[in-house]
Amino acid sequence: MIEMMRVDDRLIHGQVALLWTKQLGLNRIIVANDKAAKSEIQKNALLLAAPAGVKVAVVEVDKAIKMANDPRGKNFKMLLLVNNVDDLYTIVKGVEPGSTKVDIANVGRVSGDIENKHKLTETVYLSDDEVTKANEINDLAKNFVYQPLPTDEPKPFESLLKGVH
Amino acid sequence: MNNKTTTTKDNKMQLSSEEMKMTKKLFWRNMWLGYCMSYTRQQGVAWDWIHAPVYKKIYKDDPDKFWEAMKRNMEFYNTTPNMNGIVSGLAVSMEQENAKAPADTFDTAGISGMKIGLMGPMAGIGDTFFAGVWSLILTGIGIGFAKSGNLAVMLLSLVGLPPNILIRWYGQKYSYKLGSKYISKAVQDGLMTMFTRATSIVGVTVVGGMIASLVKFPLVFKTKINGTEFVLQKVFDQIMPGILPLLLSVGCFVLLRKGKNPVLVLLGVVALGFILTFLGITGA
Amino acid sequence: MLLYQAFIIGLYAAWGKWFGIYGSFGQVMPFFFTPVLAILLGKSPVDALMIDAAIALAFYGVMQIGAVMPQDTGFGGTLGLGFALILNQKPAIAVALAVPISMLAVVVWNLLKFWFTTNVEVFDKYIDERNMKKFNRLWWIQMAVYILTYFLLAFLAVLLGTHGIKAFVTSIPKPFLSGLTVAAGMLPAVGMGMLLKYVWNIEFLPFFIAGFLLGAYLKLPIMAISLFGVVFGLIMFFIDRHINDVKKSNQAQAVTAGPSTDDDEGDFFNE
Repeated sequence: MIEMMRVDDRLIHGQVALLWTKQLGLNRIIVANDKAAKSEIQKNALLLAAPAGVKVAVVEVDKAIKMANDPRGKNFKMLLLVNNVDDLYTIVKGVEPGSTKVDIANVGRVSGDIENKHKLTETVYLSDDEVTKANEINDLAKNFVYQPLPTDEPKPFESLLKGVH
Repeated sequence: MNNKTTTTKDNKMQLSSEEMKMTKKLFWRNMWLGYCMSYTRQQGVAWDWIHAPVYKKIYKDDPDKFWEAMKRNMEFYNTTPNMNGIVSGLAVSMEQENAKAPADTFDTAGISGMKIGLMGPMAGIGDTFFAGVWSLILTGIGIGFAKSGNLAVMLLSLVGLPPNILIRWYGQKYSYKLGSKYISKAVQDGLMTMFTRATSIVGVTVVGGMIASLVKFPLVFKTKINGTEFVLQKVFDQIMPGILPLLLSVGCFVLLRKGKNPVLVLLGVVALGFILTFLGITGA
Repeated sequence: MLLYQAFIIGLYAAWGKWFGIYGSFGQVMPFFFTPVLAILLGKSPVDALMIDAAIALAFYGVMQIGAVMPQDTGFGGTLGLGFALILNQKPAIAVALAVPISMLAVVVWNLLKFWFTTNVEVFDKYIDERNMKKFNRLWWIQMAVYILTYFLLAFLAVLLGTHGIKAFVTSIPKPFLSGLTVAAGMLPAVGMGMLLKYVWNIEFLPFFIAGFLLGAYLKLPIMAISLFGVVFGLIMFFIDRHINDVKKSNQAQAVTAGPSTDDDEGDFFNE
């Protein structure tokens, strides 16, 4: 089962490897990213960062949707990880999120000019297009939140989107 | 980078004196990565400050390319500082290729892509190992010494420093010289996973020992029942020494695992200490 | 006298802020400078270590992950230790001061970080102007402000706060003091719980139990227990390596045996 879908610029890093893995009791992480799946070095680094006891797959977004819908996944606790809102949008369309937690945690600072983006929180900056997509995700996902760390209070993402003009 | 791998192992790691100078400079500069982090770029500014003299050398004939590199590298960057040597070494070797390549034949987006791609996983490894396991074991042993005022605790840095310095030096040197190849080798070997697992086991053992000797639950309650003295602490000691510290710690663990706020758990424990003391059950 | 003590503790706080980051050395050299502080203050290094151990225990398990600082344990610890040393107080008092100070001090860090963030634009501008001198100058100004802030904070806290804290500490009624001591002794349980949460894996249960029993029944010091831990870790390392080798040779056979069915999925869905 997919325990959570998360948007994080840095994909697997300390917050994911150490904190969320333990919090959710994960044993599988699907990293859905076309670039990383093609880049041998990034793929290897992500595999290397796999927390103990967790298998990581670094795959293209299409493939990730297939894997997320694979019935064999029922026995596992999985995290679906992307690094941008577009990919999340594609995934939410392809995988019924239902009440699965969808978390936009860290995005927007790594690439692109943040001056042309809306600052939703200290760690989330979205472009106009991404705001539109986030609104659509909000219609599809029941549990759509902003929560970087497990100990942070989950904030409904809808409330952050309301502040965007 | 292919021609590098065909040479023998010894030649592969041989650095020219010029390269050695640069490697040393970068090693010392990389010590500064964690300072002055900002919300928008985290360590981005520090990265540029660290690498500026190295870029200057690489692009010494071409100020345009130097400033282009400075601008390009002022991007968001954030990783565990201990692990930065690996990314830094790789980035510098790519900048050198860029300097050698004829105009517009080297795609500098690759450098940025590599940094963005690696900073997360390196932080995943680094936070787990350095912040999670290594400093926990060292502090645990240190507390054991310091608690009894043993000055031998100062020698602990002899054990603490080497992994930090080695990963900084060799991580940077290897990735500079060998490129990303050894990262994939590390994956295939699975050594990293085994190593983290093994050190986690040391950590868990130490935590078990620390609960027994460092978490205090001092019972002072005693009474007389039909003339025989009843000492609460003795009763618990007969069941198992240290059973109350164990239960208290496991209780905290369970609460935290359920997602309870650490500050609330902390306040709860403090309250428990006070209440039990006022009731005369525990005492100092 | 107080001026000198405030100056030394200020320096120590600034040094801690510097050395805590430089090369990550501070992280792997716990307690190294504690005796130095004690000597500079004319106090017993042994007492200082005992006080610092109690503080470190209270903070055990508070970790900084991914640029998020939960508590400023460095600064809180410095002031807790400093006050306890100059007022000749018990470790429990040091803990009672260190914990709230560490929580308050995060505010200072957030302010500094906010200022660093507004400077990013200025750094960008200097790069556009191709002015390395100004770039470096701003970097060093930031460093100086960072270090000076913590120096001044600790200096002023000791200079202006010592009398108040002394009055407060001596006015603590006896039963409250023993409550405090008990609470400080129990507090490490939270850190232990936190650490277990980070490293926990049900497969580690035997090692956790072993560590506890070695401490509880055999009363071994932590150093000895950690050496046993190394033995356990090595045993598991070699077992893992063996399993890994077997797996690899099996995979190698599978590859030579027939066309590879392997795709990106690999053995993701296998146990």
